[in-house]
Amino acid sequence: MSFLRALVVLASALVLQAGVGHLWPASHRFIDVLLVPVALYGLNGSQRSAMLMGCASGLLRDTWFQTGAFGLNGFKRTLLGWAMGSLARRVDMNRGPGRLVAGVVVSFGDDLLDLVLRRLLDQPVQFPYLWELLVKAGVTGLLVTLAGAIVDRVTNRRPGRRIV
Amino acid sequence: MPALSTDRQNVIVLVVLLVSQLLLMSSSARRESAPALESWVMRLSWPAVRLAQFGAGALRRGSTDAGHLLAAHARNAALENRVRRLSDELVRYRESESENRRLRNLLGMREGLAPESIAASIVTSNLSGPTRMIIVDRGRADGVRLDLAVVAWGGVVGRVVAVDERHAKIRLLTDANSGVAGIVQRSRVRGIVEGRGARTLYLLYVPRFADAIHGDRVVTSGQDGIFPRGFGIGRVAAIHESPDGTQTIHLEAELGYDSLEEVLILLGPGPGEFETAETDTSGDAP
Repeated sequence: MSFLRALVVLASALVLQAGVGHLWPASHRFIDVLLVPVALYGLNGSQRSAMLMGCASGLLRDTWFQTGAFGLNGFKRTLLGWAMGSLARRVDMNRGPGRLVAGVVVSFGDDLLDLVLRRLLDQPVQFPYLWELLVKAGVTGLLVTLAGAIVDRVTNRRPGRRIV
Repeated sequence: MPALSTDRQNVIVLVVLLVSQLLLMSSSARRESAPALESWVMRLSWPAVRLAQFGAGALRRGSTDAGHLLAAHARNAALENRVRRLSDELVRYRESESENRRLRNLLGMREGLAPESIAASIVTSNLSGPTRMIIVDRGRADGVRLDLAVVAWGGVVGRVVAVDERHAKIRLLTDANSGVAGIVQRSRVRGIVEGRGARTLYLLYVPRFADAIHGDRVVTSGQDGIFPRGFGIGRVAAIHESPDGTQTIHLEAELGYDSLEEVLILLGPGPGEFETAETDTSGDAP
């Protein structure tokens, strides 16, 4: 059931990301919907689920929205999922403001890891503008907050309880 | 063998996943197996991307249609404004038409109140010597009859003294045989205006101490039974005392008889119907 739910969440994120990209091709610089499942699963405190979700999310991103080293996004998002799960086990962030912060942190972490890994792999690096990072982080935070609220509504549970 | 804690299990999973990703990246760099996995992921997730493509296309078409709809709405609003403006204009035109009708009725009423008249053009004239007359192109066939008053814009012209089927002869006020009951408009002093075959007219039978001064306007009094009252005759030019104890007032005729081209023959009411004669109007008789 959890696996099926994860598939639905991941597919939904992919549909949204592809749909937004279809409507607005430049949106990938500011919107990364595929980060949302990683943050949400990490907030639930399950490191393993978050890591698996990060791996799958990264592979999807590598497949559909990125060129270069295949597995790069999977690598960093696996790491992000682990880190987020680890953080959420210590601090309960699964509420509105916490979700917002988690989204922002995941977004910044993703960009930072991307820069570092590309530099390590000797891949071409293009430093993004700070305002782009800020916008992307803000959008991701909002998306995580919104998605968390939707999950709360769908699963009919109060914020803060872990479901995974 | 003791069971591994969750943390350790997670670390192991993490390491396995990370190593797998590193291998993927490595093989991707060497162009080995990565494309196969990528194609698998693509094949598996294709329905979701197709759905997104379909949804986005529908949304784009919808937004385009909405744009067209908005443009049509804007055009519709502009056309509605134009129709409203034209409707307002139509209302104004209708109001003008109504006003026009009312004014026409008013004009008709005014014409109804005024004496019935007929315009006539001067065919020939004799303006020399003591005889001052004109012949006009209206006769018995047009309702013209003897003793009808003839006026023009500005004052009295004369009266009909002869008429046939198509023409009428008019004796001018300046003719030596003409006469009309007159009144000084300011002081209401009455008298008889006579012509002497020149431009100058004479107001006769005015009492010696009657109030008349230079420049006073003299109009028809209506007491002769021929001319309606109020038509201009002339202005006082000079005042002379007569041996019989009355005044003779010289009048400068208001009309320029030399330049007349059209006149108006007053067809009704007939002689004696304007006002009951109080005084002797024999001087005005033909």
